[in-house]
Amino acid sequence: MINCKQATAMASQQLDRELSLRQRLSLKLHLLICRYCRNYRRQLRFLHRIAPRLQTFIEEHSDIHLPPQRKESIRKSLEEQE
Amino acid sequence: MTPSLSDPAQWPDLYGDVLYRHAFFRLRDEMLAEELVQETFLAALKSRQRFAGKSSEKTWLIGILKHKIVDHIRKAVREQPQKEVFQELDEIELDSFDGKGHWKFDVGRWSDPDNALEQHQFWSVLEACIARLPPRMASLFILREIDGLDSASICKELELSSTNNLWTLLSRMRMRLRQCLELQWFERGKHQENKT
Repeated sequence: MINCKQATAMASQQLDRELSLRQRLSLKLHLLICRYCRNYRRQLRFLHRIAPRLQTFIEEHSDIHLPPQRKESIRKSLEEQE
Repeated sequence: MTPSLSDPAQWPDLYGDVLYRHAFFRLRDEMLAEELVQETFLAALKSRQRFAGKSSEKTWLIGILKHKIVDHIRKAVREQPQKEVFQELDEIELDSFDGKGHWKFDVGRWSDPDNALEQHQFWSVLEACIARLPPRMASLFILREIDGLDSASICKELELSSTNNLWTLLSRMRMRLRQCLELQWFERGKHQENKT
């Protein structure tokens, strides 16, 4: 019988690879009796599912800018190289 | 006909901020992010002929930047001793489980997580929680969860010898992130109104 620590590791790995049949069964059995790990797994899956959407948020961040001096110096070197 | 690109002299104004935000989020280092953005533009200028026009100019530039970032992470990860890497992250397991490997605290359900997605503040909390991860490790997390690279590609790109180690690190980072989000968002929401 696996414990919660092992179950959480498996729940995470399930997002990265296919578990063996044996591992899948032990995880399933553990989740049947452990509400905390069920919640945990649901939350990891939620994060895994939504994380790619953070990219758009990051790109649209209005308060982070490439400093103007840097923009200027890049522009100059681009013109020189052209 | 070759697909047309905008005037390179305008790139810094058009794409400088987007590229910089992208790089800074992944590297947490202003100077380095600026340098990689600069290198990206210069590399793009040199390979202008190869721009196929299949993607937008922005996507093309971000693609070049991503390669530069991965090159950097590869070096950084290699320089940091593996032992240190694991130590930095195993605290979360000590905090979460007792000697028998059982939870030390209740893991409750999150109320209405999908509603959180509509709120600007939620994404900024998520970003802040990722920023709290050890920087080099956070890059691995970002490659996997945000960029969606599979673990085999990550190991190949970063020349990591063991996929097992990567899985362990990812598991610990997810655990940390879950906890941070719970404390900073879901638990907080129970006490104060967070629906705007």
